Amino acid sequence: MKKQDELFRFLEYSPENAERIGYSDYSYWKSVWQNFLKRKSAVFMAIVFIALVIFSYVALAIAKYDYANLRIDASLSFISPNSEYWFGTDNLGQDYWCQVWYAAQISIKLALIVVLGECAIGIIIGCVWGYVRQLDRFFTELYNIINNIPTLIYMTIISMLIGQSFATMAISMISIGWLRMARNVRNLVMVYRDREYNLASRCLGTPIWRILTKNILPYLVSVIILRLATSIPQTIGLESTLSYLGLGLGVDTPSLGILLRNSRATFMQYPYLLVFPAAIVSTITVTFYLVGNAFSDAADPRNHV
Amino acid sequence: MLKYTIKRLLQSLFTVFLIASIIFILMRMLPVENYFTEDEAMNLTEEQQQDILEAAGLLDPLPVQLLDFYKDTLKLDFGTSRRIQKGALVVDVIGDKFTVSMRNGATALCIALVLGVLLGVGQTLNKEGIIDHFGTAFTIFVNSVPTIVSFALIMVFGSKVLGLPTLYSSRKVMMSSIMPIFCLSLGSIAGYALWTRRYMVDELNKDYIKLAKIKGLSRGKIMLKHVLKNAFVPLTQYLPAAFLSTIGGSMLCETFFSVPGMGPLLTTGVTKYDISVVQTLSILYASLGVLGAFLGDVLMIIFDPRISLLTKEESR
Amino acid sequence: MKKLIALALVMVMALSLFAGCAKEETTTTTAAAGTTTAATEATTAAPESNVEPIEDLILAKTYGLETFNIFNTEGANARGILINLVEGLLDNNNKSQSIPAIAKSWGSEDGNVTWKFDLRDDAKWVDVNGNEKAPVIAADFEVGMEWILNFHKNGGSNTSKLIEFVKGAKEYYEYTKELEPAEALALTAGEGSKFLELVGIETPDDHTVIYTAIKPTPYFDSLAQTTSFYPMSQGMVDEIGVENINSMTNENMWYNSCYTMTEYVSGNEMVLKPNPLYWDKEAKIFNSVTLKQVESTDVAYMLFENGENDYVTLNYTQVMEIYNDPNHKYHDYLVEQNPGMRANQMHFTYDKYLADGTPDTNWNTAIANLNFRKSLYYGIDFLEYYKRFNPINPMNCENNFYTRADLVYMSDGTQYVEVVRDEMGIDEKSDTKIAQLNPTKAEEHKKLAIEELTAQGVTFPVVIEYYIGSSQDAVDNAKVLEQSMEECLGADYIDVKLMEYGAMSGTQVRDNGMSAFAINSYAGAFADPSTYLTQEIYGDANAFYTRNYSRINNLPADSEVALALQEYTRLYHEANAITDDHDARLRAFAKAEAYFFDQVITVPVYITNSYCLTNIDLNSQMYSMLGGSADKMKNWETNLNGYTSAEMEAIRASAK
Repeated sequence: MKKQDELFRFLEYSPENAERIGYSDYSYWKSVWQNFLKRKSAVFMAIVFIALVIFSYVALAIAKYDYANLRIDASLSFISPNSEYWFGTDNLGQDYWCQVWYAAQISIKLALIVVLGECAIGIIIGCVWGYVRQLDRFFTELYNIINNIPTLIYMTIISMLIGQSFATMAISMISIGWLRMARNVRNLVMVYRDREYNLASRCLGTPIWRILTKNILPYLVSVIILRLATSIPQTIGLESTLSYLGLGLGVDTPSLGILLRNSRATFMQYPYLLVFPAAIVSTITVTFYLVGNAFSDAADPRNHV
Repeated sequence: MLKYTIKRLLQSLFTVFLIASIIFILMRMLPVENYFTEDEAMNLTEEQQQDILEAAGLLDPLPVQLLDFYKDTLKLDFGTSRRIQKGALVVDVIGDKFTVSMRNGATALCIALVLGVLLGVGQTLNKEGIIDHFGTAFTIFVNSVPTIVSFALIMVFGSKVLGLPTLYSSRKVMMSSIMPIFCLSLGSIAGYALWTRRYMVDELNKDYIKLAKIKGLSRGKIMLKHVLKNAFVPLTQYLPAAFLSTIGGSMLCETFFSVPGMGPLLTTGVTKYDISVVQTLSILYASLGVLGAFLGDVLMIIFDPRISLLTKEESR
Repeated sequence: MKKLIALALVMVMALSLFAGCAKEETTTTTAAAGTTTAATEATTAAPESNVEPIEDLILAKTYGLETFNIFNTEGANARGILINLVEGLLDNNNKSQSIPAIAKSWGSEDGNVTWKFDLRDDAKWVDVNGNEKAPVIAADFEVGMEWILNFHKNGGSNTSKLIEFVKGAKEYYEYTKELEPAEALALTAGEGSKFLELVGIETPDDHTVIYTAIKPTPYFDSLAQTTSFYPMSQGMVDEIGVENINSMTNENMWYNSCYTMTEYVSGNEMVLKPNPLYWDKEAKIFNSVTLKQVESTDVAYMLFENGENDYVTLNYTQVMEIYNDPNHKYHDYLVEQNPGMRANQMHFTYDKYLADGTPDTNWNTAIANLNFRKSLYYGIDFLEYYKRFNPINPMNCENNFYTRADLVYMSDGTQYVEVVRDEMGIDEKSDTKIAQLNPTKAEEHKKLAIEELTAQGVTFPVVIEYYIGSSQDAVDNAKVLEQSMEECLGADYIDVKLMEYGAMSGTQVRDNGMSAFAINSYAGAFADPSTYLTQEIYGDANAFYTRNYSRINNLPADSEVALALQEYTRLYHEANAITDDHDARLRAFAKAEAYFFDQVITVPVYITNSYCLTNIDLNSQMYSMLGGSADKMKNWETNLNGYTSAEMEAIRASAK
């Protein structure tokens, strides 16, 4: 008996040592990146998008009219694009170029903030919700409550309590949007949670957060990215619907959604009012769709070997 | 299973109760000034306005109002509309609006589901091919134009080029429903296609599919029996909820085409401060939502036996 | 087992869906066949002759109908539809004069205190299918008034005119208010009732109604066309049940006007058919009227283009589009609408609060200064703002008064507002310059204001928070106004800040005194300046604008503005006390109104005067400054091919 005790003794669990045993040169994110770079169209669109964002600043700098000092002049309304008004003028005779680019900045900013906020909260809560069985009931209940109160009532009450502004809009959109993400993540976590390798991992005493981040999360990345990619155009769309209901960003903050909404009555006669903002929204959408798809393919660990 | 069902339904009841209470309190947070229209405010004195609010019980303390609300709801008395259809029972205001909404919504859902999944499957089969690119272009187009603009485009095109009735008409239901249904399904087709493709592509990479290929199973069989079936699991969860939520209609679409459905009711209710209508609709939608989620879970368990929702003692 | 359940679930879903579809479609398609062909034929018939009267009128409305009980709504929209279904004592013509409806003659013999209305004997109540229910008798007017005044029946709607003018109305209203709901619902206007005991209304026989006014009221007949004097049949109340009257529908209500509503699909459309037993057999009535509820004027315009709508109001963008393009198919069809019935004012808030609930001291101090107000009054050039409503003839929107022009005339036929103009000493109406505009005076007052206000610690530019709705038109209008104001007076003097209502309602912004000013107006209810001027008097619970917009009652009673308004109130009461001499009364009111503008309590802004495309001869509508009857689709001249601008102008010119 004594000899047995000397031969085998319990070691303190150390994740580093455990890792070292199965060490290989493989790095997940590096592989993702390499796979992603292979998709030329996506890389191209990503560059276009970055160029678009940069250009929106350049465009405002080189614009002949300053957004803050736009003058209304009925006699200049509906001038088609020319060398003076690069994107023409709107119904009030104001330069459309600076409005479009200013709005583009605002919309992109809003969409990115909202989507990143949604993701951060959604993934964290989704993982915990899906993995910890005891919390499933609580979160499901919370989800049911929030999800079943009509969005409109929220938006109304939030904007009534804190007023209308960019921050309000972002907060209220995130506070509703994280749910979809969390629910998605939760469902996938539930699918992978009880797979054999995770059972094995649990038996070996791997901490929960490690199972989540190393064993489960890589499987979720592709879906998360896709959700992210679709969320961006959705955010822009939701914003324009809210403007339609009078719950938008406020009079002095133009957004692509508002420009598109305004163009709706006139696009038959003056299509350029619709085309320019729509082109930007399309570019954003295309980018995120292609990049999202490419990235999610690249993120799938099964494609890495 | 039965025990789980009963437990889940009881829980749902509790959820609905919570939601109803929360909505009730939220609605009471809106200022009572909203109760009167500008015309009414012009012609009623301050005193008269107070009298009306008092008679309607809106000046009672919140707990008293809440208690009255519970009592009435238990008696299935949902109150009367104050603004949308003055004096009419909320039940009558809703009337048969939901059948119209549901008919349009469910038709659109079916179309979207069939076309969307087909498109998604087509895209997967023809990955990087023409169908895939077409699907991508379609998805992008639908997503990049805000609903309100695309509805306007559809309306102009439909009524001017195709000669369809511009507005919904109860006298030519079939023809006049085409545009609203098309509008409703457009976004969902893109959505279903996108997710079907995503899940299928994910599934294609799994080891068992590789094995099946090596085993020499036909491509069609792999796609249909394994890939689609498994990819369908995550989608099934949302189906019952999507189906039930068609009762609520679509605010934008129904306002746009003057469809006499449920869609605009809630918005109008909130903006016009028609509390009874908002509360009743919230309870209705909440019940449907909770039921939908439950059915979704059940469907998912059925389609994928590996998933289990029951807390087992031994599993941790 | 599990698969079975799944299969069953899917089956049930699918089945219920198809069952739903099938059922709906069969029920509706059978009904469809007959009516649709008629409608399409009527609207698509090719134009041959120039004038082709419309048999089946279609109108697009951006609103629905909230009630079928005309007593229970104060909204002009609902009333505009319901006056086609129920009729009152009188209508008015487009010269603001009373014309017979149920009453065929009327008058007062004792110095305008008791007013006697003789009813025609061929007016009938009918059901939705046009079957006779009962004759319209004098007692119906008692039942109607009892209904309005009974708090538990009608909740106070439409009581204001009765309480102000009819003897005993207030007492009866107060009496019912104290009762339990059940007791109050049981009350009637029958023989020996409390109502007849208290209220000044009598019916010596079935065809005579006599009202007793509180004070001599020379314009009582113009009051009698308002909703408050409409009839209601006791027979209908008994049939439907007193507790169901407010929720009655087109199916069970009784009609006595030119149409009955045969179809009502909430949120979609309403169909009116002629009332076969309508007393006025000579009247031109449409074969059918379809009211379509649409999402916006954009959709209404599209319907007009498709021949599915006969009248559409155009917004600025649409007018400009059509006007600027000589080849536009509607280029010659731009018709100026009948001018709006409201004389819109810039109503300042003298007790303004910021969004966080603290008083806006800077603005409150500035607006309390007379020179500051005068600089706004003389300084703002509204021409660009007018163009928003009428880009072609903007000066047609000019308004310089509180009382709407064309409402009241002196006995020699001159307009009351011209008397006010003389009192105020402003320029004659011209086509080029807004009469009150005077940049030199504005500059003088501005200098004085800066001097005085700087001493009071006001910081310049004075921030003016202006709350607006969020529709594109509202935002654009406000932007134009903002620019005009800032350019006329200098951006270093005032800084207009546009704020959106957002989730708040207009009422809420107003009740919290959040907007520095609002542009709107009271709609005149009867042919006397007091209908407007009473809205601004000091310390009166019924003065809507003082209470809700200027909020001067909240200021210390000895503050400069409050004193000015008290003086105005004194002048107003002085004028209102004159009841025997029409001209003297009006002159006294003119004095009060001139004083009101001398103190610049409000700044007069505009009268709506937009453009429309129309198949209806707007001159044939019973259009008056009292509003009342304009929407009654009776004796309307129509032309399926539309009216051109020239045609409509010619018609209007010949009418004058």
